[in-house]
Amino acid sequence: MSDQLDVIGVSKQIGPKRILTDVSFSSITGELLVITGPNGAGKTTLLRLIAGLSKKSSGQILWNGSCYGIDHGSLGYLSHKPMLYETLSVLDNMVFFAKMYDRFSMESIERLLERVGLWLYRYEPAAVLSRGMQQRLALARTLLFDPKLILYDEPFTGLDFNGQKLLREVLEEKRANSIQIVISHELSLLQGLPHEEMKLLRGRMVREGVSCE
Amino acid sequence: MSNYFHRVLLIYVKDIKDEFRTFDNLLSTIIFGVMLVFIFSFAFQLTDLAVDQAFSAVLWVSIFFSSVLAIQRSFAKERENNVMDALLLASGDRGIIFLAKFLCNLTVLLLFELVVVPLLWIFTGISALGHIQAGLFIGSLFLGSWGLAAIGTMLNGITIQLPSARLLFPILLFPLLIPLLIGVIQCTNTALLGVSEPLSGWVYFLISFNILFTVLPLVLFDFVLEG
Amino acid sequence: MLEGWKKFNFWVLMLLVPINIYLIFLYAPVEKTMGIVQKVFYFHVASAWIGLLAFVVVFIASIAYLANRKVQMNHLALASAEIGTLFISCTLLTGPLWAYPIWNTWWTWDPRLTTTLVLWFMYVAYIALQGGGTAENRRRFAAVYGIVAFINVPLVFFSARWWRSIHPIVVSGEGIGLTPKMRFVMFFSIVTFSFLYTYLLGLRYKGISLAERINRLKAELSQ
Repeated sequence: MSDQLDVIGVSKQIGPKRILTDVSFSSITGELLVITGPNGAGKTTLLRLIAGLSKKSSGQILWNGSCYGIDHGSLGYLSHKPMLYETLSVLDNMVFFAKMYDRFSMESIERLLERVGLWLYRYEPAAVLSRGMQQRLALARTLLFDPKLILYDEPFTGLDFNGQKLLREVLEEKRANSIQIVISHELSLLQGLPHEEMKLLRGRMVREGVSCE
Repeated sequence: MSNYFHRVLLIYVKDIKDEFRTFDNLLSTIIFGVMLVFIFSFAFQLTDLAVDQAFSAVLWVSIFFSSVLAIQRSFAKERENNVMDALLLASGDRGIIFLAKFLCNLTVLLLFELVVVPLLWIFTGISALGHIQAGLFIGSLFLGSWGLAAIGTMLNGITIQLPSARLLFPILLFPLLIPLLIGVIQCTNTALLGVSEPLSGWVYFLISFNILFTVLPLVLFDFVLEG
Repeated sequence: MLEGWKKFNFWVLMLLVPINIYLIFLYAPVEKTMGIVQKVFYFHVASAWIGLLAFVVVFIASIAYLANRKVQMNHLALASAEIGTLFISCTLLTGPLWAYPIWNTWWTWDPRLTTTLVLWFMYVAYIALQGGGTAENRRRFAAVYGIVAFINVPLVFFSARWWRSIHPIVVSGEGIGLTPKMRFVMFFSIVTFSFLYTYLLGLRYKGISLAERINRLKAELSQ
């Protein structure tokens, strides 16, 4: 089944400051959209608006034509901040979020933790993990369920070579069933993955839909 | 709908488990409460004032002040590390987070009272009084904690996002609690001293107050956690 | 339009204030038992009235802000809260001046006094929450607090009244026998104070907006 995300004329204003101005684009399942742009261009804000973490000032964000936005169970979000409970163990973090998404099965959690190389560390609190391991755990959380829309905000942050390879595998493998939007500075890491590129500059779209190999 | 409450329960259970694992919050609140109760009872003793007359006042002042400590920690775990975003994404509704945190705070307050109230009882020697209406007394403790937890959770959702949170929280909290304070003190006083007053009115007042201040934050919490 | 209204408001005040002072001190009869101290009553009641009115404005502007996110609504709410605090402080200060000679006490826990004091606390909390900050989330939080606090006002009043009341009910004329002349002066004072409130509100609203504009321009320049 193919899904469609339409962002139509979205603006975000915080106080007197315009963060985003009239951003529009569309994407369908199978696409990998990469948003580039300098710091403070509004990339993260755009992602947060799509995720419903922040409220847009005007414009529309349609999911399959509906303005109610995407169901929370179909939305994946991988930030450069790992967003984990530091006092909870690796396993407890996974179990808690799996249950929240109503996808709890010990086997799949074990499989995922094995895949990101954290099964050995499952009883360690998330706080003692290194930055890269936390990012791997956050990646595993995104894989707990099958999101139809996955938003990546600088996902390569903190990952070592193997971690980067893993993430690229995930990007390739999720392509079949989901729309993926990636914010990244390191375009070299996306080499070999066919994607669309979009550039934001001071909250405006300056280049849209350039296909890159 | 059942899914909604299921998620409330999941967050609640996680928080309570965390509470019992670290004992960080609960224990420090209880110790603070015990100190307060001790200082109050002792100060009354030093002035030779009849402490049993002031029991309700001492009790609720202790609970109010300790609750600031207890509730102020409720969003701390989410504040570290930006977990709030992950929790928002996973729960899909801000009301779920409010309800879970509210229940957690209510539980912590009730556990706190379980320790502090008997202690205050012993310190003040109020048990000498014969006619205590236990049901009413426990009921008023519950109603008071409910209101405290509900208003406190909402305001803590606000102050946790501000730099001057520690100072601001009680300043915001206490004025809103005045009707609750009047109500619970009437109830506990009647329960202890057996003053025959039209009491059911106060109980209904407290219940309506609590429902209002549970529903209102539930509606407004979307604006609090908008980010 | 706003400027025109402000000018009009100013001249109305220039007219009303001297008349009001004349009415209070010369026209209204001196109260038989309370004497000259009763004159403070006209200021006391009027500023209490405005204190409450200002909170209604905070409440409505807060709802409007949450609904449409216009910064102006937040400015209006903050301006109203600041001026409300001023008037409520006046009420709290004039009250004891009057109460001491009459009731022989500076303060009693009467529902109206209690509510006024709690109102003052909530105003202060509201302003502290805004904290002079212009961050968007502070505006939003202040609006939420403005709504909750306003709803709390009647609850404070009724719970305190239920608990006890020894305060004379002024408006119905019970308690203190208000002569028709006195009542006329009281309502006249309320009208004058309302004009004073709107005038100050306009000034303060403009002050807040300008301060914010300066901040914005500064930020733009430094970029």
